[in-house]
Amino acid sequence: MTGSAKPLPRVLLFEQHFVMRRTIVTVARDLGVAEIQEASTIDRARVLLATSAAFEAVVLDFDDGARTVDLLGELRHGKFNSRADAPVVVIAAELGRKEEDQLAALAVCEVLRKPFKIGDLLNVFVNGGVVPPVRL
Amino acid sequence: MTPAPIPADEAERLQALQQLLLLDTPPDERYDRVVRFAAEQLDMPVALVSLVDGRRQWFKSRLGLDATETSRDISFCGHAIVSSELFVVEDASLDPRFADNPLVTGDLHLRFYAGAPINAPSGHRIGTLCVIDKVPRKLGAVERAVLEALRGLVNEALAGRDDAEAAP
Repeated sequence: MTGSAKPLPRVLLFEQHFVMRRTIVTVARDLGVAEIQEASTIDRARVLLATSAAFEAVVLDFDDGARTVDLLGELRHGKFNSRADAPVVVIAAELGRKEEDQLAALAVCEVLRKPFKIGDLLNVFVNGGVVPPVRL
Repeated sequence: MTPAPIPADEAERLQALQQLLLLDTPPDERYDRVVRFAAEQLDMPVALVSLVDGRRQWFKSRLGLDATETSRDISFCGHAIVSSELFVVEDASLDPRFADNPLVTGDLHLRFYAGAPINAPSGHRIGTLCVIDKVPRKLGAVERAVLEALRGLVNEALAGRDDAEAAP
């Protein structure tokens, strides 16, 4: 190997549940879709957004409700290294009308309802042009 | 029916399995949550963490199956542990190795099997994380990758590693 392969797109994933989080990270890497940086808490996600190089996309668990919205608002106001208009996917077990409106106002590109298939999440990246075309 | 083969490293493999002190122990959430997730992601009615002992396979975690063990000679997992690769049987009723296997012809009505060998910390293959369906199936690339990833989580649990975030 020459090491000349193009690096995978960087994605931040905040997901509290260990098995889901680790499986997404491994599958995305093994299939050549994305290099995912994982956070198990919203606070950890904020640290990564503030200190890491830019992420091409962000996936946020909505279990933490208002704090997730706050973090997303900070992203949209350009407070982090990532682009303010970076694509954001929200994953949520339940979502009320008020939350749906909040997320729409913050330009969330997709809301995936739990339980969802990991392939569905990866397809959001592929179909949204976040990552180069990959046959899944 | 082709009985489950005996791997070349059987004695060392069994020793590694015994040293884990897992056989005939109570359910453990670390394995149960992986099995639930495997069944959910792959849409399978049965998912197991199976440990292949000398004469039997015993299920450390099981979803969708009442039996706690089966004899080793009829086990699909006994075939799976011969190689480190994913072992997939898309339609057991059409496979000469399994067509007259009691797991296929009996009440379980097994048709599809996919097993990812799991390793003791020593590296010996001691069993599988497997999924089973009662109808013929094929696995897509994402489903195969999910099963491989979950096998890694089982291996981490076998090694006693905690749930940790990957370092940046």
